Amino acid sequence: MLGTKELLPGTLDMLILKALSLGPMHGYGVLRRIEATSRGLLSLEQGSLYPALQRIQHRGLIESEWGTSENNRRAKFYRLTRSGEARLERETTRWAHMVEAVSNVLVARPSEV
Amino acid sequence: MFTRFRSVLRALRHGDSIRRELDEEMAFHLERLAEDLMLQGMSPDDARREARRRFGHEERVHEHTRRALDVGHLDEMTRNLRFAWRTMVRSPLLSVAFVLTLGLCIGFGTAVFSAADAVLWKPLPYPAADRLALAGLHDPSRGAITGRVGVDAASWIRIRDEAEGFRSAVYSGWVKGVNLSTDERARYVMQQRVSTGFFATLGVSPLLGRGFTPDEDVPDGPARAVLSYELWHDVFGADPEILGGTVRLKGELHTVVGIMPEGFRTDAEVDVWTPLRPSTSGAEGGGVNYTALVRLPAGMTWEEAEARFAAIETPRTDSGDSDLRFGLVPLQDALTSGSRLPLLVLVAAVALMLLVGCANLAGIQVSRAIAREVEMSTRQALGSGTGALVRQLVAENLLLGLTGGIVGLGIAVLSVGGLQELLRLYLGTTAALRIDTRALVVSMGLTGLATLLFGLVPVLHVRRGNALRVLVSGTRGVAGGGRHVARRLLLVAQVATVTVLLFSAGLLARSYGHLASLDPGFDARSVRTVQLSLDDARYATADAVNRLFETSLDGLRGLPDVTHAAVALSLPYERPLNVPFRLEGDADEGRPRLTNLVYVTPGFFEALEIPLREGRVLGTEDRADTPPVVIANQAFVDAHLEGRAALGTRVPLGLGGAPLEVVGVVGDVQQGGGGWGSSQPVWAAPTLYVPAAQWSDALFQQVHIWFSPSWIIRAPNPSPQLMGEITRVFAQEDSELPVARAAALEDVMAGAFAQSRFQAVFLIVVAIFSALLAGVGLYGIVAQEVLRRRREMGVRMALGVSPIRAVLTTGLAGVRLAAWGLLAGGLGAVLTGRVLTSLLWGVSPADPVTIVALVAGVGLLASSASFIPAARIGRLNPARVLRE
Repeated sequence: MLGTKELLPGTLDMLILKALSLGPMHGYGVLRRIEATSRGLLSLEQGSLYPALQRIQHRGLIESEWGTSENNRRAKFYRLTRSGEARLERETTRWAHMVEAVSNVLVARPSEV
Repeated sequence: MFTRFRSVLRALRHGDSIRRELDEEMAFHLERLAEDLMLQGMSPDDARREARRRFGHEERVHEHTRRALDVGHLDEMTRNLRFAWRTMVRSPLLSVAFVLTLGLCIGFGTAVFSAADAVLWKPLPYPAADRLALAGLHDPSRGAITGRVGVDAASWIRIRDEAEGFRSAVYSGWVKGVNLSTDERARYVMQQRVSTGFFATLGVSPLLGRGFTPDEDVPDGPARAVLSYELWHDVFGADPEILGGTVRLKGELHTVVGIMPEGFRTDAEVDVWTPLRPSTSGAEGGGVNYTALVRLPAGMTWEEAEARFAAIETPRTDSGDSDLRFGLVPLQDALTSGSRLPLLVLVAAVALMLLVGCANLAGIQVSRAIAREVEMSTRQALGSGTGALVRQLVAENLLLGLTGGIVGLGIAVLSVGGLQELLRLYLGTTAALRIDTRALVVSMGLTGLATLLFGLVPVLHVRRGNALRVLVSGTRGVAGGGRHVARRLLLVAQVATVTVLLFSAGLLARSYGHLASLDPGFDARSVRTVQLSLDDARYATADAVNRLFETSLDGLRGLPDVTHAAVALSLPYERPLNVPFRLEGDADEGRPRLTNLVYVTPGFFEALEIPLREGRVLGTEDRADTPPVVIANQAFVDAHLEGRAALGTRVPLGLGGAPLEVVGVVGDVQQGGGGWGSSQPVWAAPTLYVPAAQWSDALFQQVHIWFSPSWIIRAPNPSPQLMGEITRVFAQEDSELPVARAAALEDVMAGAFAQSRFQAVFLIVVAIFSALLAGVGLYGIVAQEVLRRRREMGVRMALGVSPIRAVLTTGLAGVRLAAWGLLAGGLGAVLTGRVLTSLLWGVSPADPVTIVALVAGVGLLASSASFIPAARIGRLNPARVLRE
């Protein structure tokens, strides 16, 4: 299982954006979403989520609003903004390129050089 | 954009609200985590403990959040602003100097420009005010009419009858106070006499009622009055019943036919208007005592109107000028002609101050730039783009600029009210001042531009070149001398501007000094004056007037402190009545002679201690039934009686009546000018003094329309109750005679050249402030030079150069710069002196005293601003400098 520390810099932000692209959610829900969609491979340090959320919100990629949670409690819900959507799209492409590049390198055989 | 802005705000006041929200979020998180853990079978206590463990330390989350917002990802502008704030606070003196300079320049600039705009350029408060003109006679070969031209009755009748299509009216520009009695008390109100059609020509209808009809505006017409809104409101409680009712004005019941709208003003502050009743006869009708107001018909051009007026046949005048023609002058030009030059001088002075201030701002910026060259180069070397640097500098200057702008706005708001009062007092302008947005924009724009433009100099330096060179060579962030060129040029310009300002201030101060030091010709100390309006139906006869004089003077002389008391039609330093006359032997044709004329009661010369030169003064023996006599002053004798024996000469005055015999000659006193003979504010004018006892009913009536006589009371050791006792004497005499003015004679004198003093003081303040600014600028340059040449001077001193020599070398560089400025400014000063000529009295525009003082002043300023910082060189310890 991978923890927060193993994540490449900037990756956490991308994961949060992706989780929120599935629909508005509070912080705890974002965490659960990431863990669930990673099929249990990712386990994030719970506390690291909040500075990241503030940071992303500050950049205008997400916005927040106080609402009521599924168990009828006051909770802060985050939602992707339009520029957040665009950013997610860019990041996804970039990530895919990088993964492709890195794996190409990693699977290279001597004959290919 | 909005969310971004909001989050910047939030980040700026990071702390409470973010912290609280975060706490609540984390509490929710922990609870949900614990709930989920319980679902997996943990006990509530275990679940909470486990949730806490997995979540991590809450305080760390706070810290990380704060750091995330603060450093890494804080919006760039916010970061720049915070950095700018820190930069500003780090050098508080420089910042305060900067903000104050900016504020004062913006504030005074705005106030004075607003004033100039309101007085000179803002349309007069009448509909289509640009179609209004004054008409009068002029000699076309000497150019157009420029000032408040007047007409006599004959000319007015020509204009009224022959300027077809024009709306016209006539009024008296000579506004004087009269007595208004109401049930409770008598008060002194300002009255203006206007003809029928006056309000209609201005295009303003009365709020209630009407203006004067033609049959009311004739000699001996019915007593009618139009009230100002303010008088109606303040004195009559805005009672509409007053319309058609009567008020007791000038001792006589006047029917109120109209009330003007709120804020209506003519060319003076007026409470009540009465019919002018123009007449071609009498003292008023014969002289140029009226002002003809004309409104151009719709669609007519000014050229056409001028041509129409030029074609009107002029009445025969006894002045002998046959080639006079009628002409027009736009009303606003005419009304502002007296205040235009003084006001433009103020505007120019403040504009120059603004320039000096801008140069200083620019200079401060350039030195900051030089000082920060290393910082900028470092940043660039570390990968900061030029764009980022520019943005940071803009943020810094924005902060300074905004602070200065706010301070300036405050100063403008505070000073505009005071300025309005000053201008009203000293230039007689009546326009209401408000801060003019355009003036504010211009002042702010100018200073803002200077701030911003020169604030970006650091980038220029870095761009021009080579971050590397700076980093390698400029050890302490002090750059080489070549870069100072901009700053040096600015300083030369500053000193030049200050030179012009100081020179103008000096000339005006000398001119004021000349006026103030003129020999008054009498002793004004411990003399009080009380002025009463006798333009009053109860004082229509010579008997009534002289009875009032005698009994009131007896009452005053009976007061314990009073040694002398007398009445005179006008006081020294006031503008007196002038009359035409011809001496025996003068031709009947051509221009008559003119003299000032003052009626006085016995004891006048003694009360003012005017010396008698020849013959006798007036006494109680000069009565209505004794031969008419007159006292001439020395100036009259010099001007008109050259080569004759003054005593015994007969002077037939143009007022009618028997010729007066000169029985005495007295010394000259200064009198108000501007009417005839001299345009100087005061001059020793040829003057005749006649006994009040020998005046006729008609003469008293006529001159009392124009003048309010003054009681002169000499009390060498007055008790504090004196003024109250004086007032009581008058109240006993006639309780319906309000005191128009009670003032020390010395204050009356000061009023005669108040404008001159105001101009001098204003210019001095502006010039000194500008000089200080320039001094600060020079100080900065030399201080920088000192810093730059520390090492060099240290070496020199180690090699045997004396400290004094080292200080001199450094300091003289600054003085040399100032000398260039003085030279350049000298040329400007010569031109300025010419412009100021008409405001100068008794001082040549090339006044040597002013020039010497100017050179000495600039020299003192330059040397102190140069040698104070240069002195630091002398205290250098060469051994230490070399080791550094």
